Amino acid sequence: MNIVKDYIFPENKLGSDQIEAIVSEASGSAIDLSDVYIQYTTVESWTCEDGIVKNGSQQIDSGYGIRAISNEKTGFSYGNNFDFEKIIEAAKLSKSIVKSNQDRKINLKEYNDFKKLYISESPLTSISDKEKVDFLREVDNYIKKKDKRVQQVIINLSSSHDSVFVANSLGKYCFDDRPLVRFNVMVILKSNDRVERGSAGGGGRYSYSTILGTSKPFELADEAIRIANVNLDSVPCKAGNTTVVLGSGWPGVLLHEAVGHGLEGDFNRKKTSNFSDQIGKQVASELCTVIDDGTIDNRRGSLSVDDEGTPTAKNILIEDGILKGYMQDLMNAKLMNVEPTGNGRRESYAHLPMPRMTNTYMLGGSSTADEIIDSVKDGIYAVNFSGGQVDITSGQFVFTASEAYKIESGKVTNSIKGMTLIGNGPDVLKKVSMVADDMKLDDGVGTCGKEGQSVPVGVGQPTLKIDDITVGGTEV
Amino acid sequence: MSENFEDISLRLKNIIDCLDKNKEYEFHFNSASGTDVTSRFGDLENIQYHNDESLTVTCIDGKKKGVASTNNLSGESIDSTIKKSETIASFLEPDDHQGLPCENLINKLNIDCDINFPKQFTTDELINMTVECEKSALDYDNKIKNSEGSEYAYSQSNNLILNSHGAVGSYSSTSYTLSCVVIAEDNGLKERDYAYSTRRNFEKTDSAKIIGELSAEKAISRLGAKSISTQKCPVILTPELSVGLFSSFLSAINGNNIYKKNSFLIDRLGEKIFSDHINISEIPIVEEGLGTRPFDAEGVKTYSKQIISDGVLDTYLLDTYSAKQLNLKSTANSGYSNIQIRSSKPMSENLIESIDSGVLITEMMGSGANLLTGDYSRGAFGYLIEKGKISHPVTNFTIASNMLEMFKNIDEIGCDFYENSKINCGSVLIKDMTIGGN
Repeated sequence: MNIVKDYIFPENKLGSDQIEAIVSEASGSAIDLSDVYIQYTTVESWTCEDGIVKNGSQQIDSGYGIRAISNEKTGFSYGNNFDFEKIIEAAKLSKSIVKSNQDRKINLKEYNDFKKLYISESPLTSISDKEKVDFLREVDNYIKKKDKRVQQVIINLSSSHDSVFVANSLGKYCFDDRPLVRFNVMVILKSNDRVERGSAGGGGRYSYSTILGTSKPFELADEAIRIANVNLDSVPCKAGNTTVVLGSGWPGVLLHEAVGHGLEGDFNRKKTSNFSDQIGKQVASELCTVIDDGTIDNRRGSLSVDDEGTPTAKNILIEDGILKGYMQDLMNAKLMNVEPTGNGRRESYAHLPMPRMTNTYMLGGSSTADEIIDSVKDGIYAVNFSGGQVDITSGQFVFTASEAYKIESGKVTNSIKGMTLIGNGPDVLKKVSMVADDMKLDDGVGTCGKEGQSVPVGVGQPTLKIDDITVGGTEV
Repeated sequence: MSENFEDISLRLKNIIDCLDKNKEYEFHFNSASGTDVTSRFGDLENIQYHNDESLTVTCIDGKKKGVASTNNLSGESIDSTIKKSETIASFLEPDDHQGLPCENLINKLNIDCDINFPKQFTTDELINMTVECEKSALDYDNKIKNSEGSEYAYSQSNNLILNSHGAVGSYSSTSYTLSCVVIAEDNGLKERDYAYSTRRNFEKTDSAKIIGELSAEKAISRLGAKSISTQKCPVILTPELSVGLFSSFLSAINGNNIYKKNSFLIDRLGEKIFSDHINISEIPIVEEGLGTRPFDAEGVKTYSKQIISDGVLDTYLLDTYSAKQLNLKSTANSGYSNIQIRSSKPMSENLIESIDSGVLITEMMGSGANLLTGDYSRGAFGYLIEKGKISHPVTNFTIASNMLEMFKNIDEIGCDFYENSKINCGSVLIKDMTIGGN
């Protein structure tokens, strides 16, 4: 069930007449687009620490956001009191960006002709709270038996269920129910006075049963131990320019930072991006084809419809190194005179939509991962990253490895610690000289921040080689 | 909001007084309202009206803690939130260290601590202010070719805590921020930079003109950045970046990271962490202070304390739970308030003059501060210093060290105090860091 439709609407006596009145109130002759977003979200989180399942929490958040757009101007107000008169007041406030305006009556029709990419049921109630607690304890026992050097284990299981409704002045409304599950393991190992951390996680838009009761949580636990173990033997990283091989999967965060943000429509409309006015031009090596795809079943970054009610799509951003298009929401698509791409996303009803990524990845090439490693005389193999950041204007990006190794004469040798990669998005993409055939999406752990708003995203890529990038470390 | 803050406070007080005396309860209620206005190229771009409230209920039942929150303040919703916290607690496992604070509890509503300065502006006044701010940036130099606009953000918030051991406390505060982001262009290169001012009292924010001009000056000064060679050299962090470094230090001495052994500063109480001349203190009540608060997030009365004395670590920052884990007492540090970083050496206004060859770092990127090992490796932008003077901007490099080394290597702290943060400090001179360039 959709909680907005089945609970909020009847509870607050909001029928189709009231919703049409609200959208109409936010609209008018001088308003290009207005929309109403209503949301009811429940989030829960359970944590096992010191062998005790000691933290449990649940959060309920519901409210509405009303937006009115006139050319490049946006008015926005939100609230959590669903009283009809209050919502009408909020609509008036949003519309106050225009001084003169003639009334318009908006008639709404339901739009549901889009593919559902995930179940609509809430993960929170799919199993009992006791099962969640027992599961955490089982994983905790497994880790402690597996490695005696474990100093600390923190395991978290969380999920959310988002019921949303969006109606706009184009005369459409739709509902979407979005489940999201996340599991994470962090271990700290101690050996001979050295301590190192390893963490691993996974998740997606499905119910708990997709993870619980499978071998996946134990594989992730093994992975966390493995990473901590690798880091216990790590040596300091030498600073300077070198060849870097990026592993498949999560290192796609490079694409997300180096390219993805710069291809969001708002930055390109305002021409503040390094990629502004570059459509049709070579912006990457011809080995690079980059896609943003919000339509993959059950993925963390997927959405059946975006937060403006546009169905998500598989959008080619860069094809064989040539820039093909930007990611758009309704407002920026209209102002740039292109079609929306289903990338209009918002953190919640209390935030404005903007162009955001969904699942962003690079297609595989024709080399193999082994060939790529073999080809490097002296360089770095970076397998895991803890996060990154980009300045979309200069194109400068940075990210930090959580697992990386030296490559010496075509062989992967010592693990290295404290390695940071820094570069310029377009420059680095032009230096991609080999791409393997092992494209992999990440395990479902990404969260992207932009202008203070967080949304779940996916990343992915094949193993690839970058000739000459700047690496930070403590050794000279 | 349908009900004012005082009325809700009294209603919640009545509810908590009637709950099961065999369990412990805590209510945390926050409400905030405000306006954000952004103008770009001389016209309004965006206006947002904020209005948030949320209630978080913690129930501790036989050493088991459940937490539930809601933003619906109806009687029915509050009841079901309390029940949910009880249900969650019932499924958890007992943890001997659980418990709400019972000592040094706050016992006063509507505490006035000089941080609440509500002021009403009309929408037109706000648009004019942001337009003026951006205009002073656009007019500053013809290299300023693009803008992300100027933004004004105002928020008035109210904070209430209640617990079943008798904690009762509330206060209100305001916050005003005016900022400007512009892009300088020259020879096909673009550089973006920003300036802002955040204060409790609108009258104390920097003027629109000053903020606009500063953003333009900063963006232009970045143009023509060169690469830098890999080397070890002294580094100066701007006050803004120093705040970030000290905030990593404060995370590392947070009791929750200490008892979890997730810190490079475990078992270091009483040891020398910084060089001798450095003193760090927490001062909870500072007039118009951005961190000012009469009680912490658990309702424990805050008090002034020394954290670092002559380089030595005096205390961890403990809330009730982490204190019990470590067999210590809460330091009223469920969160922290105003932090002062000072040097007992003369604090100069210009640290650059004393550097023969080094780098002034003005921006850092990426998440390369590892709290567990202290390893530090981040992307940076800055200016090369030669013979006590800024030579030219430098980009595409990293700076790396270990935080323990960095803390001991702080040779000087400037008196160019940063006013936009609850951590008050000036520029910091670190005598040796590794620059990774080409």
